[in-house]
Amino acid sequence: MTLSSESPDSRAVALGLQSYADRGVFRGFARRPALSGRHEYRFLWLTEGPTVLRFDPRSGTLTLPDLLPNVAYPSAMDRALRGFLAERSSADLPDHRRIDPKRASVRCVNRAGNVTIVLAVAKGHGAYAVTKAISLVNEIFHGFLRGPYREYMVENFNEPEE
Amino acid sequence: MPKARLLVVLLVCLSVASASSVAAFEVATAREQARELDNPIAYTKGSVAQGRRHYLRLCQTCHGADGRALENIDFEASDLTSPDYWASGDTDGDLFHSTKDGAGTEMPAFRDKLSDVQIWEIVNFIRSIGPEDRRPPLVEEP
Amino acid sequence: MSKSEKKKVPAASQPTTKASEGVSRRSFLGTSMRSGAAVAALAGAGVGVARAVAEDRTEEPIRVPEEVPASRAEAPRPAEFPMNGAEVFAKACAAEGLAALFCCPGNYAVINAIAAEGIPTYGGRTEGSMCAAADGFIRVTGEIAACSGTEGPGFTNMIMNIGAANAARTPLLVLASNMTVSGDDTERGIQRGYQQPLTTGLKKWGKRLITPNRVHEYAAYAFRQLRTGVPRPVHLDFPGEVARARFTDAEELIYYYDKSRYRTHSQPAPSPVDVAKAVEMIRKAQRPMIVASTGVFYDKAWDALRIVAERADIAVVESGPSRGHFSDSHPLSASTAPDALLSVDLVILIGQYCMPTIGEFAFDPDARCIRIDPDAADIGRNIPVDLGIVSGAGAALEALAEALPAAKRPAWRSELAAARDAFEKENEEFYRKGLQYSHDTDLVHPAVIAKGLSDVLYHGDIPKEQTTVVSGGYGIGRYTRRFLRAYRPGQIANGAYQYGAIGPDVGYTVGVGAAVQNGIGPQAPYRGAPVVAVTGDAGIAYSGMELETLAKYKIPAVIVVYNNNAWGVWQSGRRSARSQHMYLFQENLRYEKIAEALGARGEYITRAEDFVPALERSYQIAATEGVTTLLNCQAKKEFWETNNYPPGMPQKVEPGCMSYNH
Repeated sequence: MTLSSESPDSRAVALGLQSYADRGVFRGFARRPALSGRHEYRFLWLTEGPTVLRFDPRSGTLTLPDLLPNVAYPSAMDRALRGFLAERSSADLPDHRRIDPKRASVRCVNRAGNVTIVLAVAKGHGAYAVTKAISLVNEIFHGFLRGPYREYMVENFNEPEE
Repeated sequence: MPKARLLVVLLVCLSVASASSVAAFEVATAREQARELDNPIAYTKGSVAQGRRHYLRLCQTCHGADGRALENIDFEASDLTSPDYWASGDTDGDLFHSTKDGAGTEMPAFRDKLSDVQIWEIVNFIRSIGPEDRRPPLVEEP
Repeated sequence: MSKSEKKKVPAASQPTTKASEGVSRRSFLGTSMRSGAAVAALAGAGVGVARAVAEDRTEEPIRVPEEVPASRAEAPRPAEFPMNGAEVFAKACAAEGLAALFCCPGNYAVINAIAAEGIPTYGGRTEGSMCAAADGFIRVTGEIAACSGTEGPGFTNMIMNIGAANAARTPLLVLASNMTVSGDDTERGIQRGYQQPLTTGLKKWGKRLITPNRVHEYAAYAFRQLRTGVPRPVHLDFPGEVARARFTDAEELIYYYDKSRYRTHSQPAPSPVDVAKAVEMIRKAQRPMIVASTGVFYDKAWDALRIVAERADIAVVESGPSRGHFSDSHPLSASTAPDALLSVDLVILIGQYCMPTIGEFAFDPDARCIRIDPDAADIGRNIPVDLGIVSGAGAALEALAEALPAAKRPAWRSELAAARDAFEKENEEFYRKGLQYSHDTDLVHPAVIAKGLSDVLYHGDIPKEQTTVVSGGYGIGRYTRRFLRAYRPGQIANGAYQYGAIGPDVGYTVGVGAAVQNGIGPQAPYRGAPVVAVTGDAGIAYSGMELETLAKYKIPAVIVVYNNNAWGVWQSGRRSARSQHMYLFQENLRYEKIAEALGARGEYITRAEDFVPALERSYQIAATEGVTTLLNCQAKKEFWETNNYPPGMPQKVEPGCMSYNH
C-alpha cells in the first residue's frame, strides 16, 4: 500500500515522522508494512534501542508500545505518570505545550509493568497528533523522568551513573 | 637564672658562634688562595683520559656524561662545557677547590674520595670538553 | 609523584656562605653576632642549646618561610642576550601576556625563567592539581595560563587534568621537561618517556622541541594554537638540549620576531547572507533561545550577547565550563528555567564547542537549529542544523546586534518567568525535605548546604556578584548547581564539565583563587575577595593537599566538603556480591583536621543549623585574614536513596545551571 492510497491521517503520520528523520532528529527510521491495517514505525532517538510507534487508522489511535518498561502497577511512579499525562491537556499550559483534547487525548496502559502511551486522534488531525506524540515523548524523557527516577533511568535506559 | 650560669652559657654561645664564623672565614680565604693555583699535572692525553675515568665514576651523575648536565633531575648542576657560566669561578684553581671542598649548596666535597692528583686530572678532562680557546696547549707524553 | 632523593651533602664540608661571596672581616663579625644572638636567645629561654631543638619542635607553629614572600617580592629580572633556550621561551610567554604558571618543581630552567620574567608563578604539591589550577584560572579569566611538571612521573601525573582541560576546550599551555634527545631509547638515568603520544587526543597541538634554535618558532606555534579557533590544550616538552642551549644573540635563533608578525588577530566573521537568514529565522520564531557557551566567554562577547537578547526578546541559557556570561538575574535568562527549554522553537547555539548528541539537550524535536561556530568542519556534527554559520561567537553576536530588528515577545518572557518560578519552588521543596531529613538524622543533607550557600552568597550582606565559585563534587553538585547563581562573567567554574573528573576541585580553587586574588580579567572588580569551592569526600582525596598551597599563598577560600562516607555511586556496589566494600570509606572521617594540619582552618559541621553560621564565619575570616577554611559537612550515603530520601540524587536537565555534560 502506498502513501497515496492511505487515509489522510495515515499519510500525515507517515510524513510527520519522515520529516523528523529527514531533519536528522531520528538517527534511524524505518516503516514496517501495515499489519491488519496498522502502520508501524521504528526509529532511534532518545534511547539506545528503537522507539516504536504504531498508528491504527481504523480506531484512530497512535500508540507507543512498551515505551517505559518495569513500571510497577500499582506504584507511585505509575500514579505520577498518569497525573503527568493528564496535565498535558490542562488549560494552564500554553497552547504550544498543551495537547488539545478536541484534537487528541492521551492516556497510558500498564501491562505487566510495561507502560504503553496511547493517543486517541480525532479524525483529520493526524499531523497534529504525531507532532504532539513526539513532543510528549520528549517531555516524558526530559521532564517527567528527570524527577526522582534516577535509579530507574540507570537500570532501564543505561543512563550513565555519573 | 643565676648570674654565673648565665655567664657560662653566654661564653659557650660566643665560642660556638665564633667557631662557625671562623670556619666560614677560613673556607672563603682558602677559595681566594686556590684561585691562583696552577695545575701541577701536565695537560696530556693520558692525564685527560685518567681524569675522564675519575669523572665518569664520580661526577657524571650530576654533570652528565658529556659534562652538559642536561639530565640531572634533582637540580641544575653546572654545564662544565661552558666556563663563562660557572658560579664558583673558572680558573684551574677554582675547579680544583670546588671539587675538593665543594661549592655552593649542592656541590659536595670529594676530598675524601679523590687525591689531589686525581682532582687535577679531572680538571684536565674538564678543560678538554670546554671551548678550545680555554684549553691549555697539549703536552706530549714523556 | 616519586623523585629520587636529593643528594645528601656531607655537612662538615658544606660551606656556610655562597661560593660567589667573599667573607670580609665585617661580614665575619656580623655572622658571629647573629649566631651568638640566636644561641643567646635560646639560652635565655632556660634550655640548653642541644635540647632546645628536640623539645620545642612539636610546639612549632606552621609558618610560611620568609623565602616565600621574599622571592615573590623580588623585582623581575627579564633575560637579555646571551640567553638559554628556556629564557627565550619565557620571553615569548611574557610578550604573549601569559597570565600565570602553576607547577611543581622540575623543568627548572623553564619555570625559573618564566618566574624571572615577572609572570606570576605558583608552586603546589602535585603536578596534577597544578594542571587543574591553571585550567581553573583560565576558565574564570579567559586568559592563557600554563602548567608545568618534570619529565616522567611529574608529567604523567597531569594526564587526568589535561584530559579535563581538553574536554572543557581550555586554552591551557602544558609544559614539561623531557630528559635529553641524546638519551632517547636508552633508559639512561630515570624518568624517561615519550610525552607527546600520551597526550594524543587530549590536546589541540603539541611538540617535543628537538632543535634548539627553533625554540622561539615553536613558542609562536604554541600561542597561535592557543589564541585562535576552538581552543584546547597545547603541550610542549623540553629536552635539556633545548632548555639549556645558549644563544649569544638573536641571529642564532630561527624565526625570531614579534607576535604581530607570527600570528593574526583577525577572527572569522559571518557572511551577510548567513546573518540575513538568521535574522529571518529569529523574526519568525515565537520562542527563540540562544545557548551561550564556551566561545561566548573566550571571545568576551557578553555585552554583545545581552544586546542581541534584549533587542529581540531572545531567551539565553548558558552551557560550558564557566557560567556568568549572561546574568541569571536577567529577565531573559533561562539557565534556571528548565521547563522553558521544552517550549523553544528556535535554538541558536553560539560557541558550543562541546556538542551534545540528539536528546541530550532538552529542546523540543520541532525546534529549528542555528549553529554558529568558527570551525566549519564541526557544524552539523551530532545535531543536524537548519542553518550553520562559520564565525567566532563575538563577531556573530556583533553582526546580529547590528542586523536584528527590535521585537517584543511578552508571552515568551512570561513563560520564562513562570519556568524560573517553578524551578525555585522545586528547590524550596528539596530544601524543605532536606531540612527534615537533617533533623531526623542529626546530619547535614545536601539541600541544606545548597540553600545555605545561596542564602549567604546571594541573599545576605555579600554582594551577589562578588563570590567566584568552583562548582565541583558529584552528588553534592546535583544539589548545589541548582542553587548556585552567576550574575557576571566567570562567576562559576563548572568543575566536572564533560570529562567528569571527580577530584581536581581544590586544584581548581588554587587557580580560581589566584585569579581573584590578583583581579585578572572579569575578576578585576572582585580582587581579593574569597572564593568558595564545593567538593565531596571522594574529590578531596585527589587534590586536598593543595590546601597547603592555598595557605602558603594566603589565597582566601572556603572549601565545602560533602562527607557522606562513600563514593557517590555506592549503590552500584549493592547489585553485586562481595562488592559493596569497594565503594565505601570509613565513617565520620575528619577532613577538617587535615586542613588544620596544612596551615588552613577546619570546621566539622554535623547539624543543619550550624552550616550557615560556619560558612559566614569562614567567609569573614577568609576576607579579613586570607585564611582558607575547610567545612567538613557530615552526611550519610543513604541520602542518595530515592525511595527512602526522595528526591535522592536529583537528575539534571541540559543546558542550564544543572548541566556539566555539555
